[in-house]
Amino acid sequence: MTDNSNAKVMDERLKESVSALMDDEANELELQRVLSQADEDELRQVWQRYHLVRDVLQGRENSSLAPNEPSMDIDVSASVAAAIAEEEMQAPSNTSAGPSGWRWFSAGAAAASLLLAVVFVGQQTPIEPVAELAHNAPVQSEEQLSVFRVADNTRQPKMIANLNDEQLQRFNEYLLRHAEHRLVQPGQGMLPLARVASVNAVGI
Amino acid sequence: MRQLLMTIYALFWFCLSSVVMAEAASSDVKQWLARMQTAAMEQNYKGTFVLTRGSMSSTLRVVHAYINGMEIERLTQLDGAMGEIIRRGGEVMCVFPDNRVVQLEKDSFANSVVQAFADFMPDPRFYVLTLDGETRLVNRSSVQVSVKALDDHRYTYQLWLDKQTGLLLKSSLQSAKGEELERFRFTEISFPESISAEELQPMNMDKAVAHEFIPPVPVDRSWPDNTMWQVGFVPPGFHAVRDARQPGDNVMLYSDGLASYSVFIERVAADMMPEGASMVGGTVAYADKLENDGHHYAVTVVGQIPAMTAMLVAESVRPKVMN
Repeated sequence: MTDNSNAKVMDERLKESVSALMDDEANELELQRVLSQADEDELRQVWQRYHLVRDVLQGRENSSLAPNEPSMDIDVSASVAAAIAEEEMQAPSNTSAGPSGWRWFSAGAAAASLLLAVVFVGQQTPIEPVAELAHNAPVQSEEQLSVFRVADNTRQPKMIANLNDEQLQRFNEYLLRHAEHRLVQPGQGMLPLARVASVNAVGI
Repeated sequence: MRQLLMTIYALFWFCLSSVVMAEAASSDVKQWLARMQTAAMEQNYKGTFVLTRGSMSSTLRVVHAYINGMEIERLTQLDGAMGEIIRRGGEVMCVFPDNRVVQLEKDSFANSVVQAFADFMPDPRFYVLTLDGETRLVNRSSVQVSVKALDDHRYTYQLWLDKQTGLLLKSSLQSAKGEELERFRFTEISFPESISAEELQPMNMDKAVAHEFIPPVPVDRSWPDNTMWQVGFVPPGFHAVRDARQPGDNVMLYSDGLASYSVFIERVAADMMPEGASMVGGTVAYADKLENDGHHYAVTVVGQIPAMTAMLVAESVRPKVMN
């Protein structure tokens, strides 16, 4: 019983040493310990198992595990491998998209099919209380230069909580039209259209 | 007595010189703004910029060329799905990630308006214009111009202009409370002598699957011939750049030299449009319902103005029967 538990302790320490050796972190003492027991079967298994885990983590196809060896850390390696596979599905978008297409985007295409999928709603910054403005402001001629900072009105514009697709589309068309209008006013260059484009990017 | 006279004299000169200096500064700023306008049109430039609105930001690439008196511009989204906007003169075309091309049908937007508008400057009665010194931006010397709103009908702008060309390198749009609503900033820019045609070509145009046109906002002919749309409230400092001139005209554009908004009036089904404001950064869309003669209309104000102002404008729209 006692022997058995001693053996277990030895085993754990040995595994640590093997691990350190793999990571190039083994000190001389650990190296000697590993070398002195290098002929033991169990040590070989540990060595191989650690290499398998490392290989899977690094995404290598050919692990150092011998084909006849049963895969021991099956749970870990399987899930890691699955995660890696998933990552590979997404990662090559920049390579496979290339000039030949938009395949990788097909999932998002549905969302984009809505004309100018601007999301006005949902990204609203809370409207600042503009209560300083006068309500029912009379039509002011240029000469009447009363400055609009009067806080005599608390009525605030209602924020729209939700827009349906049709309304969204209408708003987006207006936004694009307004940007087009802005083009007659030189000065801000690409900004009017950039506003449309950037909102669009976020909305998709 | 003599001392008093001297003091008055000194005070007089002091006041006069400050007025003169303020005017000089203002005219300097106006010159810079004029340069900014010209540069935005006539310079060849390409670069990358970031547009931040609230918590969102997006990166875009711009290639802008001025060829034979026409502006050609290509904007490419660098974040998220790729979409592009191509502009040739007044024609705007959007290329969507799903290979659809959407183009605005040409509006009958008079070119004479463009001319009349070219020298339009922010009115010093509504903005304080100051030159705030020089800084280095994107490895270029820039001058900082501050255009501070004097009332709550418009926003305040901080502009950084390229010292050599006058092009806008950075801008910040702020509310009356000093909250930043929108920030635009080049992260890299160059001013090449010439720009090749390929650089202005949208990607994958040959793969376009559909070409759609957005028709202009239809003119409603169901009104009596002698009825015109009237926008009752125009915030001080704003002028109609495009006005309703004939019965049925239903798109208007107003500007104060920097900010602008459009008013759209469309006949819709009763519950088609919502009522209220929707905002993205410094851009507002305010929709209001209008019922007249048994017909439902939607009045929508879109522009870079505070929501309150947009609301006041939208609510002031009325049909007027001309005699």
